[in-house]
Amino acid sequence: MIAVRGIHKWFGPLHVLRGIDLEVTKGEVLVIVGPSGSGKSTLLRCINLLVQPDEGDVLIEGVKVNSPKIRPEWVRQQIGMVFQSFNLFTHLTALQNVSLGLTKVKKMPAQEAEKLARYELERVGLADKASSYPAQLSGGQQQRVAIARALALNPKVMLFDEPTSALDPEFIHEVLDVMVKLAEEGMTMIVVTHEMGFAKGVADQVIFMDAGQIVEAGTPAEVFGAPKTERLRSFISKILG
Amino acid sequence: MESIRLARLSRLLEEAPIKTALALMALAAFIVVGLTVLDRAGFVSFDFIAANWTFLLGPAELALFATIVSYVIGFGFAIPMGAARAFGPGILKRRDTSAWIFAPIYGFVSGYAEAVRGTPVYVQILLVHGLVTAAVPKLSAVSLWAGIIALTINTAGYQTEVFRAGFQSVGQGQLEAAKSIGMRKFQAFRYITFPQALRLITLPLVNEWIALFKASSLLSAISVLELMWGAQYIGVNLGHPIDGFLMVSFYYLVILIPLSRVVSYIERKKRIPGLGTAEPARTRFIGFRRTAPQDLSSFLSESSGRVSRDAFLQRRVAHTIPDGVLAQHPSIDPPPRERGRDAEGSETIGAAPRTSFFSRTADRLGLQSGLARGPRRRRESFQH
Repeated sequence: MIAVRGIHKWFGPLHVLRGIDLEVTKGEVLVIVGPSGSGKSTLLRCINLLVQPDEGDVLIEGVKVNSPKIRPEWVRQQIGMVFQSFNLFTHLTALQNVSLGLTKVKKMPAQEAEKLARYELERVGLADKASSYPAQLSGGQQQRVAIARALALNPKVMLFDEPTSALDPEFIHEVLDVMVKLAEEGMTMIVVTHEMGFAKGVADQVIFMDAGQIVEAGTPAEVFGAPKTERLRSFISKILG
Repeated sequence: MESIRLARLSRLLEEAPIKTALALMALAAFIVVGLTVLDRAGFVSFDFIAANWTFLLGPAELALFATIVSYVIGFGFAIPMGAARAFGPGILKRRDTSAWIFAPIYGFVSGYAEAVRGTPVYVQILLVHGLVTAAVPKLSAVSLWAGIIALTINTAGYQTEVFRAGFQSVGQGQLEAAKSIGMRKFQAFRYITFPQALRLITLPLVNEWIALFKASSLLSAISVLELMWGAQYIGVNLGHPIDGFLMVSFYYLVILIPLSRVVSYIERKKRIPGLGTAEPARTRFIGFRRTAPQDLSSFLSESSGRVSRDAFLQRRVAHTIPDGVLAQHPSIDPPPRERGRDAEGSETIGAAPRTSFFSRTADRLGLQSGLARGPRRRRESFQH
């Protein structure tokens, strides 16, 4: 479904990604963990081409998408992305946030787009907040609208970049609930998170990254239950505090 | 008892409408007294002003025409130029041909904005007038055309910088989000950056209109028959310079003050929470709030249209406190005050009858006085 082959990325002299390979099959949930600065976010951004990888391939259903022949806009329509800081469009209501991509990118008629947007908001439990502006919503609600916005375009895969890191503890579970539901519905997901409960309960694969490389990979039980490297052991002990 | 009254009075004086009214009255008194003194002293002639005040109507119309035309054309140019200024450095950093193609455009726009802002508008007007009259000497109304062109060139430069600042202040996250849903760069600009920036720069844009209207007075130097020309005519040809400049000042004020008030009213009325304009002040337009504030509208009782304090409090806490507790909570359900009879003889329960002069006056005017208004507005927070 999604495969990454030998990705390298430099920011100036900084070698952020040092040869990443991974593969996610349809319906699978991949969780990426690792200390900050290890390149997790950059990896996600490389997958939907918000950042152009300097070397290596990104393959979606076997098609190399980071080639000059393919428009990055088209690629991003196939991939939903949820940001750490929500990034809802501040001048639009929740409903407009969700429907904007449908009308402007998918060129859907306005009425149809609104209907679909309402359905997506209902899916994340925010049907009653359709006419609220982002500033009137709590962090958890904003993040759920952001998930609905990404889902509305019917993506093949969803990328989550630390979706709960900017949230107050009381709002984390409502976002995680939506993500668990999505996973149960069979959505293909790549999730960067520090939520160990989510990783253990939902992930099919876990990847531990450090300094731009994949240090360990496997099932949650393998990675968290029997860490092979010292780096992962110390990371886990820090996370569990 | 006396101290309570004093406390109430001082609280009332803190109310913004009262303060505004006092300030306006003081200002009006100052102007009337000052002008009367000047009139008695013989510097100013009320009779002359009264007889000639319509003389400036035509010039005012022309000044407005020149300003509006220049401003609108300048606005049209400023959007792409502001975008070039804001996004130029990013494009120049690219390592492909687009950077080479764009470089001269960026150079021109930057040089243009710097040149306009670095020279006096008076010089610009005379320079453009010289060029236009030399190029097309037989053009009718050549002065007016030259004036409009000069003002357009000037305002385009300033508005370019306003738009640049506006575009730059839209967060990077907004653009990333737009890209992540598959928008092209122009779509992201058209539907995200531009509308957000426009809200952020409403105030500087209004300031630019005001500055431009005042700058139009310099067109008198190239004999455009606008307001300042009218004032000079009154001074030189009719021998009343002080009256003339007083009249023209009044014209400028009458045109500019309502305009900026109307725009800031619209700005507050159409505001989007969390973007640009701050939360509306507790006063409206000139001062008095006639209806309940908007975000309390769901608490309006259907019959009276007024905010019911109890309904407001109950709804606010209903989701945090279970029903049984709510019923006995003292702050939500205050014990009834002593029963009494009001003026009509009907029984009153609860709130003490309003007796103060201010609250009676407020009632007659159909306003809610500060004391009767109930809970003060809270800072806007997210809804649960």
